[in-house]
Amino acid sequence: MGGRDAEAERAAQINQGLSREQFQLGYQGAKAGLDYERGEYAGQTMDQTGKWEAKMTDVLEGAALTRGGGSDIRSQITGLEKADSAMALGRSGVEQEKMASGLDEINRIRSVLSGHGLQATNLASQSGALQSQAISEMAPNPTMSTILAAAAGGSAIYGAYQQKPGSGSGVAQERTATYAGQTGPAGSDSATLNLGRL
Amino acid sequence: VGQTEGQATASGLSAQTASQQEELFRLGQPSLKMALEDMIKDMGAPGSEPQSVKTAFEALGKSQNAAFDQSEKAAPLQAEQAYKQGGMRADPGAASSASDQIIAGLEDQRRATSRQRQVAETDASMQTRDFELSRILGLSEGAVSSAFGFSANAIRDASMDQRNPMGGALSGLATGAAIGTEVYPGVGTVVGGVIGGVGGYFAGGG
Repeated sequence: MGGRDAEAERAAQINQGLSREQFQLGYQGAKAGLDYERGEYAGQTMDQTGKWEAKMTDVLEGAALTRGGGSDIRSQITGLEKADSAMALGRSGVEQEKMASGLDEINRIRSVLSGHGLQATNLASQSGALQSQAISEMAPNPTMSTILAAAAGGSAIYGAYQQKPGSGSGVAQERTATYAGQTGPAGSDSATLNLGRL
Repeated sequence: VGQTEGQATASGLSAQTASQQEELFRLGQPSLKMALEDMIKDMGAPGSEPQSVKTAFEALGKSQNAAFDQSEKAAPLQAEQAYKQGGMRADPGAASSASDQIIAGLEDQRRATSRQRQVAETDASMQTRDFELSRILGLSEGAVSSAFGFSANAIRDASMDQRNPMGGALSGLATGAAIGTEVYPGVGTVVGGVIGGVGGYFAGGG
């Protein structure tokens, strides 16, 4: 039994060590990810200014090109109208895209925070279940159980010795004396006892 | 001592699988650790551009600018060559004017390219961040689950370790006393009991 127990102890220690190491890595990673996302939620979102400025400049330059040329005032007015319309439409488009992107970003952050936050709490619950399992594997007190078992065994032997007729035990002798002169009903304890004496 | 053949085989297998477990862990875990740490480092502070994207787009910008620089430097010579080969008479300074026009066109293109690069860089930053964040969280949660798997193994292993020092001592005491009684009733019983009890205590994990 000792070999198996020692092997079990060694395996438990190895698994416990690996668990600790792996948990540390996973915990640090999850913490880094969730801290990052909380930072974004607190306002430190990714800077997209360059992107929107570039798109807006594209709109302005594109609008300038639509102006076209013309020597007469009518052509020039038509060109200005086209350019202004192109600029207004382009700017609206970029603003709309910017707004949609902002909403997407907020939804993404909320989704990541809630989904992975929930996942982390689920893992915490699994950890609690393992703890319960570990507790259930613990004997209430192995040493005390052994002592009590030994004591129970001892008292059983002592009790048996006390019950043994003619053993010298005062209780057993007294009981034998009590029943010695009596004949109880057939099949009764005292009758059986007296039969045994015949 | 006193092991059956089956017990010896089981014991050997137990040692072998324990060794395989360690080897596989030492093979996989460092890779996981390295990838996780790299991604966390690359992502940087919340809201910042991932370092890998920044480096890549800086290199791209330099390369694109170098291409435009080269074309702009070649423009005056190309314009002059074109006028010479054309065989037509031209005003003095016509080649220079043509060259300026080419360079102005190239500058427009350079700025347009730079804006496209800016948009692409922002999009790449967000995509990289999304990818890295998703991998970091997914892998980390997987690692924690795997840690729990090891814990569950450890609990099962611990439940198989039934050693109890006091139980061992009592059992040893009884055996020792019996042997001692056979050898020399009375004193032998006591001596055998004591020796058996002490031996049993340590054999039982004490």
